[in-house]
This record gives sequence, structure tokens and C-alpha cells, in this order.
Amino acid sequence: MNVSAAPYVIEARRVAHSYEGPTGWVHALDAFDIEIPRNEFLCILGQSGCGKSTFMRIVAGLLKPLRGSVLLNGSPIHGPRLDRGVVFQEPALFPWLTVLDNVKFGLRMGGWSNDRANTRAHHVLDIVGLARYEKLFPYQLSGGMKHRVAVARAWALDDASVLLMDEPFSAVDAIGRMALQDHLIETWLTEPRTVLYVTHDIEEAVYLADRIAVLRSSPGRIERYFRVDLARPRDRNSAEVTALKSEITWAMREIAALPKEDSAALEGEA
Amino acid sequence: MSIGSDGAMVRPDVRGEAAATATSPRDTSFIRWATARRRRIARRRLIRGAIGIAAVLALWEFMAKAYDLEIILPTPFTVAQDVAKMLLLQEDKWLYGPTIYEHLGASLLRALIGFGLAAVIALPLGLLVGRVAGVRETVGPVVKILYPIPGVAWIPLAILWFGLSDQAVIFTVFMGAVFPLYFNTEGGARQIDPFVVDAGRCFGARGPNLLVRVILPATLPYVIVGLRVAIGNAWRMIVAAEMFASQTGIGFLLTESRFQFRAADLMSAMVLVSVVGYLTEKVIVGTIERRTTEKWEVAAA
Repeated sequence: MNVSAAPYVIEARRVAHSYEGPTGWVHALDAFDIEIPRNEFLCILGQSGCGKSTFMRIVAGLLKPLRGSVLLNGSPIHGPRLDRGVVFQEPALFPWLTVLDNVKFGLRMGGWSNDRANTRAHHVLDIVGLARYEKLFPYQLSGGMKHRVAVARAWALDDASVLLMDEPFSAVDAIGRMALQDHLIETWLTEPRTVLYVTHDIEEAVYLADRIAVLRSSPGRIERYFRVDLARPRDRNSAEVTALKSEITWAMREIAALPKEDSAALEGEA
Repeated sequence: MSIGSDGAMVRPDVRGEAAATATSPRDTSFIRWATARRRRIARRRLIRGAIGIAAVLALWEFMAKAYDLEIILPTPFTVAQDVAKMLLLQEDKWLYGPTIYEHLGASLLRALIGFGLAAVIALPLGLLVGRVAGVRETVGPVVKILYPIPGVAWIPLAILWFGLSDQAVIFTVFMGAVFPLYFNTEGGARQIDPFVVDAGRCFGARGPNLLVRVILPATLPYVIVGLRVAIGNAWRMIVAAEMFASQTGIGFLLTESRFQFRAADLMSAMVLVSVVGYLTEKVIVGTIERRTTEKWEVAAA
């Protein structure tokens, strides 16, 4: 995908989506707006169940919102395409393919020649530090390595205009998660991309993002933005980082206390 | 778990290697201990298996001798001798037309054709019904109506349609093998990890590509269970069909030896069905399994 005329890579306008739950309708997203400029690392931060994964699935093309529109480089999204690289909550690797073939999968589907796909896959595996393991099958990898392969598989799509990451490291232990975050930032510094990163971890958001969007839940909507103007790699314990973390923590507490407008209130409508 | 690009943890393929890295390189006592333990377990399994089989053979021998049943229940030794004579073509009196190898070959060929046709139909159909709502809602009810009809119930119809012929037998085998493979494939295709399907779609696989490159390999553990049941059923059906519809094959040998009142021949044929059925399952399904799910270390949930 070449650089298009659209000012934003992703532009969401009044997106709304609801699920029918056991106690009524849950408004995962309502009047949700966002603009993401090129090469920004944006973190969407929110509590569990606030609709952040819903938004991610909509951008990925796996889910159609009930209302509103999401534009990718100015054009509406129609189903999943190779112009978006996706990393899921679990690595979701293909167990029947080697590490190399997993990373090549999207490239081959996109019509790349085997040689060209090999070169690109080797390059990306090198960046995430897995070049030595390219012949192994997923079951032979540790959990952290699987997550890195999942990142590499999405990163390999160098035509993709955005990388979508849905809590990719949330199932990894704290030390392992830090190492994965370091790898991700190194990769991003080597090859800057537009990244939409969903997380519920304040520290992770402050460590990774250029900009943090804090979501409220029921209905899911962005309440506040925080800009993180700190040089990378960041010091997790610096005064600025600590101050920003506590500011966001307070903001999230306030947001969590906002009244819910869920099912019960709207039951009369249904 | 270590994560650094060099210190990353890799699960070794061979257990001996795990042992070697677990202790100091000079200390090999752990490996010796593990090897001895593995051998002990293997030996124990062999002994216990032999005890079970020996007990059944002993009971068989005892019943035959104690109740003087040797005419209808020949002893294990007599049957073994009879099998050997059949295979070495040293029968004093051979009453069943072609040689045992021609009978076995005929059955094997029909079983494989019927099983192969079942695989060609059941695999794609199972995947489509499992994954595509339109196909599921259209084809699902048809299969559910046909399924309760027992395999043997198709034999008379097969004879009516195809006469006493190979086709009649193959058709019956097909009807016996197609359902287990279909149901396992369909159920498996529905149960595969939704994230893996999402990943396939997000990384560019659509339509037939998604089905062949993502859904099929992800469903393979279930497909293999289906193949195993289907091949077992194929042998069941072949014997039943050949009893009615054929002048060759193991099923024919079975009924014919009953007419001739030769129990040893009858039981020899049963032994041969067991051996050939076991071997076909081992060769066909075992090979697929070794090259796929065992290599990837995946299993049906």
C-alpha cells in the first residue's frame, strides 16, 4: 500500500456495536471516534470488557459494526485483508507450519514469490531474534517465542498500513512480558509502522505508546487521551514515567466510576 | 523460561537431550537411569500383554478340550496350523475356488476402493458442513436421515442395483465408511481454535484457500480419528457384503466354510481378517498420522 492522500491511517466515526448478553444488551462501543496518523504507536487502554477488542476486530475486518464507519486510508473496511497485520491475544500460530512458514504465510497468500517471501521472513525473524529457530514447529517453542513469531508474522507484511495488536502479551509472565515489549519497541524503531495496540496494562501503555487513549466501558468510548513525549527506549522507573502512570491511574479510576448505561436502563427499548 | 535471543528455551526433540542438558555434561547417570526405566516399562507392558492373550488362548483350549467341542471349536493350535497351511498353499483339501491370496486380495481391493471413495466424499463434505452455514443447513438434515440406516441394510439394495458384483460390495463398504469419517470431520471442523481461523482470514486465506490451507490441517486430528473408525467399518462391511454378494473374498470364505462345516477354516479366515484389517489401519492411518499430527504434536481436544 503506498502512501495515500488520507490524513489518517485509521479514522473511526460514530462506531457503535452491541452484544446480546444473558442480562440484556451490552453496548461494547457507542459513538466511538478515533483518528490515528501515520506511524503513530497508539495504545487503547481500558478495563476488561470495555469494548477494546471489539474495536480491534472491527478494524481487522472480522466484525461488522452495527453503526458508524471505520476508514482505512480513507476507504471503508470490507473484511480482513493483507493491508492490516494482526496479532491476537494468543499467538494463534499454525501448528502445522514451521516458524519460517508461519511468518511467510501472509506473504505467500499475498502472491509473493517463494524467494522474495523467504528473504522478507528471514529479515523479520532476524529483527525479533528468532533466526536460529526458523525450522522448528510451534510446539517446540516456549510461550514467549510463540508470541514473537506471532509479531513477526504480522510485521512481515510490509505493505500493511497498520499493525493491530490485541493484548498480545497479556498471557505472558511479568519478566517475559518486559522482554517482549523491548523486542517490539526495537522492531518498531528499526521499521516504524502505524500500530494500534490494545492493552489493560497502564505500565505497558506508558512504556510503548506515543499516545494513549483511555476507554470507558458500557458504553465503550474514548474518554481521554494522554500523549507520551518520552524518548525510547524508556526507563520504566524514571520520574516522568512514574508520574504519568499515576496520572493515568487516577484518570482510570474516575472513568471506572462513571455511571453505566447498559441493558437495564435500555430494556424498555428492546 | 528465558527469553533473550540466545538464551531462549527450546523444547528438545529427544528425551535423552533433555537429560543431558539437565545435569552436568560429565554426569551421565541420569541418562542411564532414564534408559533403564524406559526399558523396564516396555518389558512390563510386553509381559502383561502376553499374559492377557495367553489367558484367552488357554481358556479357548480348555473349553474345546473339556467339553469336547473340537468340531465346532478347534483348538488355537489347530487354527494356527490351518492358517499356516492356507498361507503356504499346502491344503490337503481346498474347497474355496481361488487361493487364499486371491480371496484376500479381492477383499483388500474392494475395501480400499470403498474406503477411498468414502474419504473423497466425506472429507470435503464434512469440512464444508462444519464451516459453511449454507451447506450445513442444506446437507446436514439429509445426512442425519441417512445415518440411522445400518450399513448392512444397504446390502439388499446394493445387490438389486449392481447384481452380485464387486460394485455391490464396494457400495456397501462405502456406506459403512462414509459416516464415521464425515461426522468426525464435521465435528472437528466446528471445534478448531477460532483464533487460528481468524489468523488464516487475516493473513489472506479466503474461500477454498482457507478450507485447504487452514481448516483442513487444523481439523486433521479429528480426521485421523474418523479415518481409523472408517477403515475398521470398511472391513466389517466387506465381510458382511461378501457373504451375500460375492464368490470371492474373505466374507465368501467365511460363509462357504460354514456350509462345508469346516470350523478351522472358518476361524482361520477370521484370524486373517483381523491381521489384514490391523495392518491396513496401521499402514494407511499410521502413515498419515506420523507425517502430520505426530510431527506437529497436535491432538484432538
